[in-house]
Amino acid sequence: MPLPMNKGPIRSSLSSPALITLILFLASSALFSSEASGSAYAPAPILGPGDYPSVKGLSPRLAVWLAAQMHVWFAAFVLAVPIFVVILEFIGMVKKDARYDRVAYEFLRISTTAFSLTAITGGMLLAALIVFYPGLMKYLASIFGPTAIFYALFFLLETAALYTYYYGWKRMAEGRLKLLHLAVGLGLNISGTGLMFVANAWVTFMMTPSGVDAAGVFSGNLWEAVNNHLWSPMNLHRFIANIAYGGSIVGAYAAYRFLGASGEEERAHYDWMGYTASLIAIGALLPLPFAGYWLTAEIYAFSQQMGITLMGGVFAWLFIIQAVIIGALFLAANYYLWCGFGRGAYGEAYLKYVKYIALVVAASFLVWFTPHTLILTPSEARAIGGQYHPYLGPLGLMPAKNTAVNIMLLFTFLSFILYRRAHRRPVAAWVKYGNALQAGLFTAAVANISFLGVYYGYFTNTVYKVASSVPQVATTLFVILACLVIEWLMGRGGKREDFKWGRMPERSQYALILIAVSFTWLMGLMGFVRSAIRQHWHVYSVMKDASGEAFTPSIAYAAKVVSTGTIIFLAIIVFIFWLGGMGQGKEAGKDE
Amino acid sequence: MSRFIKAAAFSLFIIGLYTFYSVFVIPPINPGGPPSESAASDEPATIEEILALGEEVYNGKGACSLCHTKDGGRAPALDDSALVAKARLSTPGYSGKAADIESYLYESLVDPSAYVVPGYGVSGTEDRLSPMPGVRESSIGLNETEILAVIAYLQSISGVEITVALPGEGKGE
Repeated sequence: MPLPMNKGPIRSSLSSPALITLILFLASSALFSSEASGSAYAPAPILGPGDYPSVKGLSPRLAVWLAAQMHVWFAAFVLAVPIFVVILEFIGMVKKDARYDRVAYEFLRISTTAFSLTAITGGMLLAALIVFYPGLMKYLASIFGPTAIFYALFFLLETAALYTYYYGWKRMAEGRLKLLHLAVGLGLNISGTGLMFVANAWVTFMMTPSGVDAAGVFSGNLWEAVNNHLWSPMNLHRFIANIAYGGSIVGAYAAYRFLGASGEEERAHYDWMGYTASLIAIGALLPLPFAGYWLTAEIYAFSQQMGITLMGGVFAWLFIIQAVIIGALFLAANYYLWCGFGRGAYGEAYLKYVKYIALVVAASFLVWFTPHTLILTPSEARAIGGQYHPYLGPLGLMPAKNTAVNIMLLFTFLSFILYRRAHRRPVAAWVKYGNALQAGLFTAAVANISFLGVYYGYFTNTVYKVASSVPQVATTLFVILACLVIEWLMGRGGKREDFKWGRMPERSQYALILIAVSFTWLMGLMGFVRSAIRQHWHVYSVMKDASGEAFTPSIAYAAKVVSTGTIIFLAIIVFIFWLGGMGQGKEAGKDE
Repeated sequence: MSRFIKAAAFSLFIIGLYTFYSVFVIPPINPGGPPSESAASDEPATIEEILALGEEVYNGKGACSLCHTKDGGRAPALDDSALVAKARLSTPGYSGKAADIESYLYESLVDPSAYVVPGYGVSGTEDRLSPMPGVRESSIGLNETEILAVIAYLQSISGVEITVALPGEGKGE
């Protein structure tokens, strides 16, 4: 199948919304900065209800919320896809395998349409903020105004790089030009990531302000304001999460195309694409909890009060919902891998282990699912001897959660190892010892993680309970790396049968769709809590929200908003897929 | 079209499931509105009023009950804090400047790091730095009346004599 390429003139659809948004952003930053400069480094304003313009029948907070969430979803997608497009292109170049190039290009085409929508939703968000929260925007611009230059620079670089990368794919397909093309792709990723870092500075400053005093008077040190407590962990967390998210959406796209594939070749292609995308998604999901721990630890370091509000206060139940969704993600990922055993010549031999892995993943899921604080009737409290169950209560604390997630990660990794072995047989003379070493490492890791979980969960003071996370994570990462190295050494020169791509049951594709939908919903939910832990503050502890909507909504209300946003976003994504399919058909026709 | 309908229905089912779980299964907790700017808009004139204000601030604006719970263990429970304060003052390691129960509680509220109870300091600071924010700081932002009301409330639940003077008392002295 030929690689479909766009040979037509460069379309302007990419540039218009992007440029309009950029101009709007620069103009507002300049306007607000100049207004603020009259009273350089004034305290944060004390606002009253009259400082918030209103439009009859429209909830300003809801408008900003939905616009922000849409923008974040699209932005996550368009930032993530180019990362693994470049990786795939590089692998394809090294392996001289055209399949990688084709899939990479197909990924990129989907993200170019989403790029316009990212700009449009960004413009909507900015407009909503300026209209409904002018006081806040004026204050933020008085501090972060100069960052608009970097934002603009990264924006222009990203746009230029995207154009060059996308439209130059065929023209720069050989020799040194291919290397240049990869360099452009790298530039696209650097500028996109830089853009996100600038936006993150504004957002994280609102949560953990630094570079200002208690009255919100800016010290004049912009770097201090940018490099606040949450900036680095948020950058890392979003960077990893974006990759996982982008992978999941492309995986769902491949699944959808797989279900409608007309021939064996197309079916095989989309099966391979779905597998590659889901591998990227799950691969990025593995380190995500650890980035989350860093983020949460920094929240606690900045304000115990904020940390407890997040994990032990009104939002504690939200993390139970998160646990349900992450449990569903892990189960779906494992299920997809188990279905994939059938692609390999030796896969059937490993099916007998599936039930045990499923049992462990489900048990870990239940531990993660166990809440710490339950609302009890007085008689129930008397029956269990207090607010928490004497033995099961610690299952609601972080050591148990850390234990559960690490074991879940290890067993998902085990599913992956078995999946790999479904099509290759190591033949090294020391395979028996290698297998024994892997099993020993695995057993020792599970024992160590469990011991740490029990020790820190039951026998230490609350303040030290979180200390279990670092050695547990280190154990997991070490075993994953060590087992991969052993696997690689044992596999050298081994017998290898090609996977039979396309030999997957249709129901397996719904696992990929579930992963994408769950990721989208989860991102919305976590976006809510990230913002909501500021409670009635625009800028935590510095600038109060005095609008009529300063109250913290309930989780139930947030869930409804997130669901509405998810449905709208996925409907747009389906539309983009449909457009992508049409475009592909036309381009394929031209090539023929 | 049928695959579109199937995929869409499946996606809606998943979203519906998460929504149902969030709305109907987990307990309905409504965090409510922001705390009032000043809980002590009317200065308390009687002991009953100052105790009521103290309890309101303790559980509301002051966010004390967020950490100081019996079972949580993150911060010491305060139901006998006034009694404990008396013992702390005679502890050899006590490093604050308070001389009596009331001033100890006052110091603990406005300058929590003046003396950190062993085991409750920020990790790595050897109990020299308290994780508790000072209650005057803007994330909590209690005024003097509210601070005194909390002290009175703590004395009350500890069962010791309430020594806090009502606002206005002694002004003419």
